[in-house]
Formats: sequence, C-alpha cells, structure tokens
Amino acid sequence: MSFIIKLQKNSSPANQITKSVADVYTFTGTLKDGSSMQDPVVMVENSGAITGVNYADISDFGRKYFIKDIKSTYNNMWDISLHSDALSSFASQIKACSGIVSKQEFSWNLYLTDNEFRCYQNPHVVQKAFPAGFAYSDFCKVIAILGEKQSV
Amino acid sequence: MPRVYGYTADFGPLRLVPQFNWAKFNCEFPPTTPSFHPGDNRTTMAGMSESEMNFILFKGESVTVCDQSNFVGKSNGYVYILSEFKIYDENDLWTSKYCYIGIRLINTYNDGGIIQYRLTLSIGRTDASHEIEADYHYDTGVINLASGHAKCNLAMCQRTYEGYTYYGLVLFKADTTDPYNQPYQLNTLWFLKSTFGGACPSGDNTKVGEETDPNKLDPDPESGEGGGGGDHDPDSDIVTEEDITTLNSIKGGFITYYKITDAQLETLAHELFSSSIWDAIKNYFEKPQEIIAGMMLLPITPADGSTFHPKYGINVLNDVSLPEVGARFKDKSCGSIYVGEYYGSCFDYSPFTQIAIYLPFIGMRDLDTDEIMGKWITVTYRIDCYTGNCLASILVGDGTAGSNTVRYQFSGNCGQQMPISSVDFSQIINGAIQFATVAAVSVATAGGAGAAAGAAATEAGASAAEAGMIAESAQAAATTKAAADIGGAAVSNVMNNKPVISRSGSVGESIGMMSVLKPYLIRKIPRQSLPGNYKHYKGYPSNITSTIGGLSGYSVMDSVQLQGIPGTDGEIAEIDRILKGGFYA
Repeated sequence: MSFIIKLQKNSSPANQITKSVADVYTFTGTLKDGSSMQDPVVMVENSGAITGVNYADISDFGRKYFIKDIKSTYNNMWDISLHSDALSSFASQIKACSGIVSKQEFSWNLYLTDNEFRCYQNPHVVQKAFPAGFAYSDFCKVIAILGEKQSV
Repeated sequence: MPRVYGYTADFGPLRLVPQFNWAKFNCEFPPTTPSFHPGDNRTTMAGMSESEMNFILFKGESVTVCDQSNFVGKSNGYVYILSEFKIYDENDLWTSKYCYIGIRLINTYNDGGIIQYRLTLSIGRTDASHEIEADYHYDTGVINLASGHAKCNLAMCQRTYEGYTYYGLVLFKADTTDPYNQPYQLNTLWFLKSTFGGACPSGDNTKVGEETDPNKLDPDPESGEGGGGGDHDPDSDIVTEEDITTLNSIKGGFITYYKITDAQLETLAHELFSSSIWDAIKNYFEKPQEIIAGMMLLPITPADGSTFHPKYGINVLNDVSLPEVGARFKDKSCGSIYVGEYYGSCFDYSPFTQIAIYLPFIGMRDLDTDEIMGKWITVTYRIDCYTGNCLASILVGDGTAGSNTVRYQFSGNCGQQMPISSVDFSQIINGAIQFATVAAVSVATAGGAGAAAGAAATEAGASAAEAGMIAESAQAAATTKAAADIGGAAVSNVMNNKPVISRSGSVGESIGMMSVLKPYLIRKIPRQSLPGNYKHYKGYPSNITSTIGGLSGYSVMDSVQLQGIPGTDGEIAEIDRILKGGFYA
C-alpha cells in the first residue's frame, strides 16, 4: 500500500508531548512487507541522499514516528525504519487523561520532601544568642540563719 | 566602615517594634552609579567609595504583596522591610544630602536563575501628606522615577553591601525647607514579575508562568489532608505558668533567708565569734557558725524584703542588719528570638535541620525543630532563692500577644553552695568530683516536653546531674559513612550517618557560673546543592491531581489513568513509562 509520508526535522526533546517540527521532504512511500504500525519500515524513492531529518508523519497511520535508520537499497530506493512516537501521536487523548503529579516545573511545594535533593557534607551551623541572660553584676549571696528576726 | 542602623538578624515577623520605629543616621553619599530619570535636571553626583556609604537595612517577614487591579503576586522569598523610619541626624536636623533606603530580596528557591522582578517601593510620610514612589524594572532598568510630589531625585538602583544586593532609592534633600525631616513609613512593595516562589501576571495581564503552589490553594480537596473521618482540628490550648506571686507565699518558718554582702558577712562572722554572743548561744551549738543553716551564691538578686537583725532567743545580732529575701521565687527573662526558615522548604524542618538550645546552669538540650520553626522562642527562668533550683521554661509563640505557650521545661540548679565549715567544704569538693564522673557518661535525653532530671542542691552541695548532648535520633548510630554517601549524597543518607556530638556536660552550680550565662540556639542546617534550573530538568515535588493538558513545563507523573488512547498495548505502555519518567508538556 502507498501513502504520504512527511519527513521532518524535530527540534524538541523526545519526551515532549507537543513537538516542534519542520517539514523537509514529502514522499509517497510503501510499507515494507512484514512491518508493524508501531515500528514500520517505509520504502521511498529519492535520487539523492535523504539528510537533515529525524522525524516522520504518516497521517494515514494516525501516527508520528522517530526515524531510527535510513538505508539505501537499490536504484534510488531508501528503506526508512521508524519507531512510533506514541506521546505525540496521541497527544490530545493523553492530555485529557489525569493523574497524580509527583514533580512539576511550575506547580510545586517545597515543603514536600524529595529524596533526590542533594546536599553538601558541610552544613551551616548557626548560633543565635538570646538578647538577655545572667550577669555577674547581678550575683548575690543568700544566707539562711536559724532563729527569729528583729526589726531594725 | 559603613555605618548600619536599624539592622538586626533577629527581627522576625513584620510588626511595629518600638525600638525600630525609627533610625537615626547620617546620610552622606549617593550610590556610585546612579541613574537618572531622563527628565531630571540635576547634575551627576560624583560617586563615593562604598566604605563611606551608610545604609539602613530592614528586615521583616516574607510578605504577600498587595493586590492590584493589574497584577497580584505572591512571594515565597524573603522581603526585608521595616515598618517605619525617620530620617534625621543625631541633632535631629536634616543636614545630610543623601540617604539610601533599600530592601533586600532573597530568593529562597534558588534555581540558579536571575531574580526577575519589577517592584515599586513607595515611602510616605506617616501623616500621609507626602509620598515618594519609585519604580524599578529589572529587565529594562528604571522606567519610572518618582511620582506625586517627586522629591526623590535619584532613581531606584541596586547596591551591594556585604555581598547582598539591595534595591532602593536615594532621597535628596534640597534645602532646609525640604519636608523629609519627618517620619516615614514604607507603604507598599509591589512585585510585578518574579521567578521565585510565586510568579504573578504582568501588568498587561499576560501570564508569566504558573508558578503557584496548588497545595496552598484553599480550599483544595484534591490536595487536602485526607483521612478516615477525624475532626481535622489542629487547634491547641495556650499553656502558661502559674502566677509567681502565689508561690511566694510559701516561706520558711524557723529559718530566715537574708541577702548579704561580703562586708555584711564579715560583720556577721565577727559578731558570731565574739565572746558576748558565743557565750549566750554555746549551750545550743558546738560552733558559732552552726546558727547559719546555709549560704549560697545566686546569679540573680532576689527581691528586697524588710531589714532585720538576726535573733536567737533573747540574743540579737545588733551589729548586722540584713534585708530579708523579699520573695522566695524570682523570674528572670532571657528575651525572645525568632527562628526563621532558612530555605522556606522541607530542609528547614526535621530531620534535616537540627536545633539545640544551651541553657545556663542546665546545659544543652535538644528542641524539636518542627515545633519551633517559624516561631518566636522565649526563655524564662524561675529561680528558687532558698534552694538555688531553677526551672527554665521555653515558650513558643507566633509573636502576637497571648500566643506564647510553654512547650519545654528543663530544671537545674544555679546556686553555688558556699562552705561554712570544714565539713561543708569537703562535701562540696566531693560533690564536684561526682559531677565530673556523671557528666562523662552520655545519657540520651528526649528533647520533648517534661522536665529532665535536674540538679537539686543538697546540704552537701553535691548533686547528680545529667550530661547535655544532642539527642540521638533513631537512625544516628554509625560513625562511618557508606561509600555512596561521599560527595553530594542524598540528604536523607547524609543525616543518617552523621555522628552525634556532645556539646556540653553538666553546667550546674559553680560550673554554671563559669559557663556561658546567656542562652543560645545552635541550628545545624543542611547546605543544599541545587543545580541551575533544577526544576526544568527534574521538577520540584508537587503531589497534586491534574490533567496532563493542565500542566506546563517539565512534569513527572506518580500515577496516571490512560484511557481513550487508540494505541497498541506497547504504545500505551511506552506512554505510561514516559509520563512517569518525566516529560515536557
């Protein structure tokens, strides 16, 4: 079967849901026999080398792909090995899912502990004195004497 | 050296503190790199060296900035400001030219980035008749100078003092009629944009970034306390000590306690050993000094009572007039200090930060960091002038009237028994030796409520005492570190392997009098190693419920319910792995 395949350059990290891509080539490709939808091998024809691409979009499959390999076979034919980018392919459905966030860049609370925080071995040792204490000038002797007392 | 006025490291929560309502200083020199409003027609003033500058430095608590129609903000950093100040010299005259009034912003969430902000510092007369407002825009520099009565002739600028950066403005006094020799107060401090703790929308209402803490949204049942039906009532009672006047009604019967000076002691001894007195009382005592039940040196001066001559039977010691100890118990306050957060994070609390307190005549005692962090700590002593026993109470409060509650009580003995006979003297020496022996045995004491075993004075003058030391935690036992802990170990591993150190032994009685006489806190704070932009690469702890689409930036899911995704099993498993391993929305 033949289908339209866009070869693109992806400048976003692999673990980003919505990627920033730029179209480089658009081919009509053929799926190699025995290929899966998740890891297809697509055959395209191009007279020159296929360069500057690392991403692909096959709308007929409803998926976006990382380019794993580009192999020249014969007579201007190229085998392009792809791996499904499930994160981007199903971005809208993923964004509708919910869960518990353990770490976040913008919504966080640092009063929650994190075992990955690291610290140096030389902690701060802070000493703070109270404003008042005892003073030698206040020292006083007290004597206990048996018996009674007579007013002066 | 620059002269700094109105600065203390222990200012604590923002409130009107009488001694810091005003600060006198000489305002002398402007910043070295002043920048001027384009419309200002004053000549450039020559910069002076920083050593000749004077600063007023203010400290307060972290504040939530004013709500404005254009922008609201919240800061979890520390903003140090003073509530009110006056500006004049020692002679109450405004004689100097310039005064720099600055504030220090501390980003407690140090992500290695630059503090971005736009802030407006407004100071005005306390009678509200005169206001100065200057606007400092970090990104573009000063964008607005003074408005209103426009007596501020220099723009807000940045100054560095002792390694800290201050943002403020300089007041310039033009002539003797200048109205600046009046009390001023800090009116407002507005953040327009900040990267620390809580960003706020900019003036044009575009969002800078959602840096709010959803766990602090109130109410937010999605991040609430949870539980199985408890009442969630954290209110507690205020626990106070009894009124000391009630205790003072308990007095001795056959013994009278007097205050005595060295000169009076000599006179007493002279009279006791005189033949007239000794002949009168020798049928009752073997030695003249047996009429003296005991003598003690106290670190406080008891209240004065009436003056009397000691009397035994018909025999009156007329040569010596001694003031009676007017009240048996006396309170001694050591004041209060504020224990503020260093980080504004979990590191400020146990087990990461450890706090101990040294109490004169008692020694070092551990305090629960969680109980006192962010609170005012007050130490008061209650001393029994008859026995020398002392009880140190540690009160914890939030700084408002009536908020102090007794949280810890530790006992000791602050009276130094003074020998009257050879028997007394040898017993005192033996007691001191026992002190040293007992103090060498480490005893772990709980830092919680309840009095530790104190040192009670006996007739012999010796008493048992316990060593003070940093209490052992359940985990702190090893004195060697695992190899994996060397260099940037995780905080929990480090805390578990640090050895426990004893900071003081017994400090009661005479040893206490030779020791430090002022209480102090020791706080051990971990030094965090935080790479730049950490939250972008690893994220900060969150623990909220959200849709994936509701997140921005870097996120890590703890658990996620994936449904409605038309992918294969393998693809869904991969999505789950990526979401839990970290992704960018």
